Amino acid sequence: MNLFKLLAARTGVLDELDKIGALPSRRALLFGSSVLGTLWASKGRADPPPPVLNWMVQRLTMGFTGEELALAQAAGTAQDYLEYHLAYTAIDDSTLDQRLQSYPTLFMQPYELIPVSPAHIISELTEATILRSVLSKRQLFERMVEFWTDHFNIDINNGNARWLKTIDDRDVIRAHALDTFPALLSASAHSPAMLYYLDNASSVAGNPNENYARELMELHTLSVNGGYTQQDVIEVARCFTGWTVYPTNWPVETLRWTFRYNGAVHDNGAKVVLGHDIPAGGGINDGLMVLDILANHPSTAQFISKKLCKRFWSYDPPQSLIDDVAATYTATGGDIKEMLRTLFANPDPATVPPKYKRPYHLLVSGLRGAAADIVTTTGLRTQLAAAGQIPFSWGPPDGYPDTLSAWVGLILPRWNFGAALMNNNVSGTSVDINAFLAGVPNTAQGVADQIDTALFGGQMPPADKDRIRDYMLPDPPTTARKREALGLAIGSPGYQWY
Amino acid sequence: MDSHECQGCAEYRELSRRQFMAVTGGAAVAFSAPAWLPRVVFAQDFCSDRDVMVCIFLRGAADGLTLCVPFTESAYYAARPTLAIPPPDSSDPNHATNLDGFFGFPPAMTALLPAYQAGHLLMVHACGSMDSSRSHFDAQRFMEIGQPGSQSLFTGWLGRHLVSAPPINPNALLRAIGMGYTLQQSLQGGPLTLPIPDLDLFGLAGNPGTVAARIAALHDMYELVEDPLHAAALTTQATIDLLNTIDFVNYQPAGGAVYPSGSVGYALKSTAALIKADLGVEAVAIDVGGWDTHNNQGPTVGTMANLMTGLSGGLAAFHADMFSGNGRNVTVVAMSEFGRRLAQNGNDGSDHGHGNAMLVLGNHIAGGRVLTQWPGLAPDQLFQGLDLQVTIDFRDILAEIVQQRLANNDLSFVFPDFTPTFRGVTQAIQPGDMNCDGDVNLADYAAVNACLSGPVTPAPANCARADADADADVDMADVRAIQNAFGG
Repeated sequence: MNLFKLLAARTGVLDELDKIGALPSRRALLFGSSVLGTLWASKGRADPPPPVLNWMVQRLTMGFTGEELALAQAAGTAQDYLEYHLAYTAIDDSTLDQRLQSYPTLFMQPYELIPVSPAHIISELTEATILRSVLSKRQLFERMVEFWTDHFNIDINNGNARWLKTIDDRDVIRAHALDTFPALLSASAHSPAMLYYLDNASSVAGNPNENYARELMELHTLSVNGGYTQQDVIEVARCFTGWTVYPTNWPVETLRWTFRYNGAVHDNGAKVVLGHDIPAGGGINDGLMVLDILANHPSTAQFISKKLCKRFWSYDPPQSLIDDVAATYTATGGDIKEMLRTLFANPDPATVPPKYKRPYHLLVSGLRGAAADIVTTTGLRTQLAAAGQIPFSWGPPDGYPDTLSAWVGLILPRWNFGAALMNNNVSGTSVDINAFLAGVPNTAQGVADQIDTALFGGQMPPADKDRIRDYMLPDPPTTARKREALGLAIGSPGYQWY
Repeated sequence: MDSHECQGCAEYRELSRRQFMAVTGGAAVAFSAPAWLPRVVFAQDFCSDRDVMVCIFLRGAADGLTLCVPFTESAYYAARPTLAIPPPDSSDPNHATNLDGFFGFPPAMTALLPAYQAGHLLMVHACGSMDSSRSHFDAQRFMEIGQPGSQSLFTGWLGRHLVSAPPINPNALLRAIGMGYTLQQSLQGGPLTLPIPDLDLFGLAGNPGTVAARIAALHDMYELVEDPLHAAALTTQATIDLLNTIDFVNYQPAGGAVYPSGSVGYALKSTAALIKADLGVEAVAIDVGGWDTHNNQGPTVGTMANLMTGLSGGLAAFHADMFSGNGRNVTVVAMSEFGRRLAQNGNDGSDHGHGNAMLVLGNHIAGGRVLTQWPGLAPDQLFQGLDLQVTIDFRDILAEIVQQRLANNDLSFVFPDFTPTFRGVTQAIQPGDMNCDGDVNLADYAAVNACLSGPVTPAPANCARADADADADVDMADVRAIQNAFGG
């Protein structure tokens, strides 16, 4: 045991570090999430809270722009601005829609996709997704699409999902992103991509495959401690036997790769799910009953509400807010718009800690703030992959994480994105610095002011802003320095939060 | 060292030098920096008191009944008509390779036979978390935080180990790496710890002419924020320079090792280069995903066979690379959140189970055997009537490694509310084997000599191997014991 005697003499080092606060205290490390959550949710500086409309723009969009702030101000109150975005079909998005016409697989039926190369389908969907995130005027809708894409995660690199995720994106996620949760859940349960991804497509009576049944309860509805047992998993799996997909050689061409209920392989015995009797001989109704039971379960209301609050409010939302949103879920049959109305009923930026942008959010916000011109997303996809969040590529069914601890470590790709974008190294995407600085005094301070206005709505932390300004000195700043300063601003600490 | 306290040091040194020289005649060992490591001084001392920990997580619940086949169990064959690996005496070409009369490797794991036969690879079976969860995400979290069932603990066991152990290299700028884009939960809380997806691609983009100025600007801005962003940013800046000293692409493995193409081989090859560069990194976490084989499991051809081929090939190369010659102080564990159901499902796959197999690899691991308290596979022996039981808590294995190989006694901090049972996972260190090559010879002389402290004074750092009687000093008694072990 000689090692330990020697090391015992050195342990004083750690205690010293503890004392000066160089390490999280041992207590914080052991007693974990709540303590660290409090620490980590802080930006660490006493920056004043943003005005409520700036905060709303940050919460409801994929990144601040002056144009969005003007919309919010024109709308009036925070609630008025929310209503503007909830009525998303009334927002003119025709410019983007027109552009998306050049991605034909977005509009195809499953049978039409069969002969198309999956790489092409994935490429079109990924490019369309990035363009929508950056350019769509229906920003809250796109935020909800991202939210549900994570919630009902399907890895686009997995088997037949390579062809069929694009159908799921259009007919499940986008079709119901601001609809009701039960409608969304049902669409997902019938989605060929989901049926393949979680193996229900091959689940048959006698020896069912439990994969979908488990994740349906754990990840889509009740949550892991939502009150189901292993026996419930088995029973739900039995209920969904026969929920499958028409094969690619089915005689009726238009049915190929669409949802199929195959009664021949369905387990028609009686089941008990979460205490509910499901009588024998129910056929497809077994699965529909399960979806109904799950959608109406209080654990689902609580879980979905908590996840929404964590996404839109803070990492550690107040339980009272979660309860309010859950009550709305229950009262309205899971109306997503109503839940958002409850969530944003009393926005108070002073009491809500900022959230750390995920890599996708950071990149998209940078593109929006700098008014980047995207011809193709080739280079952007490389950047997103390097940062760890290219759309639809999270392997396990729980979706890309939305936690500070997951993403805070890998900061280099964020710096590199800003640097590459402004050094013309992101293939297919460029920033017109002259347009960005139109009418701005050609001084370091003038450029820094414009960066603050365009990216932060005037809320850039002063220390960051001063340092960015100094980077461009002496006056007049060179074009190269101005470009790099904008890149540095995208990589600056203040811009990582929203 | 205070000369007053070191009475007799000169004598000890002279005595030991003479004794070493008398036996071997003396020879100088030459070291030179390999070409792949051009910009740092190559570490001449391969060996420290503590192992570098490489922690591989097989995400998705790897099927332990395929990784390590219980071929004497008739229940195994009855429950898995198309998934079972045939016993070693089968005429089927895909039969298992016998390890110990009870367990065997499937064909896709046989690349690990040399490591097993060298006594460096320990298989642990019916191992895992006692928690009954069959949720991937809960079970992974429970294992990585090191406290099954906890809803409050956030930091990882490896992170807490790093916090509670002084750095191997006091000047280390980076102590741990999680290979990937998001930091593994096992490493959460660790000081000087970063997620890095590719060690070879870690530099600042943009105009090379302004890198220094931009780094300075970023440094100034991030200097003002609080952790964890502060630590991440500053550690990142230090790491850029650090990793730039290693030419990972042209790294030449030792021992004739050939790393397979694919992510596991690449990750382990990078890890080997990193460890040999001796920059002070003492923990590496590697994820291997794709083990959730509900459908067409493919234990001999297909999904799981491919995964096992990548894993075993990567580990075999790592073993050859790291443990040839003097060898390195490294321990590797490979674990998964739970095993899979004994009975296959209707899709030639298997659903979520419970007990599992675990791999431990190292030159101070008591390997070459399967460590288990086998519970059996008969219906009444199964967990909830479905799955292999857990009879060895995974923390028993990890805690023994933490204490014996990572030199951290603070097990109650690393694994709270748990009293581990040590199960003979690790081997004792041979006193005097300063360079970790498995014997005591002239090559160890200088290092023993440098450790001499006399009978009262504690020995200097990194001298535990010279402290044969474990009394904190290195004195004549230790020299005598080491001398007795001298093998040339």
